[in-house]
Amino acid sequence: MESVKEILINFISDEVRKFGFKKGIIGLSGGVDSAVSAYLTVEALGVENVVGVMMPYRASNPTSLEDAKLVAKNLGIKTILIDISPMVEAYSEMKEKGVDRIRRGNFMARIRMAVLYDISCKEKGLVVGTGNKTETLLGYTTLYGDSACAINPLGDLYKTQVWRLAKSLGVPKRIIEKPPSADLWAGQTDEGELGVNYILADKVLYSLFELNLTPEELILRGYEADIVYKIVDTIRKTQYKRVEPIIAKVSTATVGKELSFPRDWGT
Amino acid sequence: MRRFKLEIVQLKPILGMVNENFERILGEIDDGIKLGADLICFPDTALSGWELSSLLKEVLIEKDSEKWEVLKSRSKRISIVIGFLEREKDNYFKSVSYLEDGKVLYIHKRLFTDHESIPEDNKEFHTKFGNVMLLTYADLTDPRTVFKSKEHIDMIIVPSAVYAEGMDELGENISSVEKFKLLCKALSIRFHSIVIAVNRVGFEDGYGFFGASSVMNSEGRVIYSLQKFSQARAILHIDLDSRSFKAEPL
Repeated sequence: MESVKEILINFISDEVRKFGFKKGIIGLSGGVDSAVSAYLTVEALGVENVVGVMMPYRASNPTSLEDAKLVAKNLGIKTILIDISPMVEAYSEMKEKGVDRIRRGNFMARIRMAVLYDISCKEKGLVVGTGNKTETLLGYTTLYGDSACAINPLGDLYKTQVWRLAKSLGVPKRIIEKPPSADLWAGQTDEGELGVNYILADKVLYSLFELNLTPEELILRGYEADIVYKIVDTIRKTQYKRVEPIIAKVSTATVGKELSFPRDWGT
Repeated sequence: MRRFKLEIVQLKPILGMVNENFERILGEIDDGIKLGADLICFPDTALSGWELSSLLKEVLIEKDSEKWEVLKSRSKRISIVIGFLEREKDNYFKSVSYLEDGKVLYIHKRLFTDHESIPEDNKEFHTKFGNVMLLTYADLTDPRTVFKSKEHIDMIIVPSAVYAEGMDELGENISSVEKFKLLCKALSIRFHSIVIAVNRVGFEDGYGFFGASSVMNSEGRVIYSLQKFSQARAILHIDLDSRSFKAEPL
């Protein structure tokens, strides 16, 4: 993974510094994605320029916080610990018994985003994202929640590639090997919610997009039709999460259409 | 002039800021003159940046502009290879030019569309160093390139803006890095010519231009190369007759 590592480290260094920032702010969940982002950002910006923000909720699995602390300790980065429970529960709707766990989970993800962006302002740093390509394509993110960031170094790596990168960076084994979870409620796992394991999902996604095969060609190669079509359908249904809010066109030059300026303009 | 000093400049332009880039490039040219270089080569899109989207009008350099006159004037003291964006009627072209002795000796044009630039057919041309062919990365995969020219070519100059892409399933290889090197090597062997490939660096909207600019001998062997992802420059003494190279420490 040396070439990929080199690209991602240079990407973080270039994109943070060219806007006049020095620091990267990372939400450390205790999972492998945020661990990899943190390891890369330390290599890119230096240990003194990385802040790990840990934001447990009262119902979070305690091992998530322990693993986040382990990453921070191994790297020697500054950490900030913010319990988001009072913020989540200050919103009276979240106090109601039986509130839908998806609503609560989304709200928690957006509170964490708000905290991260506030700390990025205080620390004068950029929020370094942790989302990978598999969860982005499957829409397994909260819009304006965990997907919100200034730069996203892992966004073009499938989950199984993130695992390989984690090994080569020296991320602790227990973090790489535990079942991936957004930890928004007790017992939640990514693979349980997605209904497909990451190894299989990545094989299908890689074949569809990197090898440019059709779903029918995948089925001919032995993949289960139900799984392949479920994945294709999920990608289509979650497309709205991967684009900017849609604008009704009425003028000649519309932002995002005819007016499409690059993000890095002037840098 | 078969023995000369070549300078290659692997830089990172500021996206969409043609005036700032122009000043930077003039500085590099003046440094090159001070260092006694005879020929200076910049990467593709060095004046404009690459990911232009709606910035075409911002980075345009008109043929009668003062910038051209300044570059032509500098070329009396040092030959210059530089890329720029030009317009003819309603069409935009990402072009690369060769300036020498106060004149534009050659312009290699590529029609610029929304997502790609399509190279127009081009020919070798004569410079004070010998016969030169000016190609960009898009030409390297164009079959017309390998069939063209029965003339002897002394030097092929490839101003480039090639970015990293094509990671394999295991994340072990990035194919575009190797592909760029192999295509230049094939070109060198095909024409039995020196190849000067100058690739830019820097990130633009996620595209990571990897640099690794290199000079190859006429057997496709890399004689000198710059590091990946960092801005850098190098000066080489080249003798076209003996086909010898010597890098000068900077």
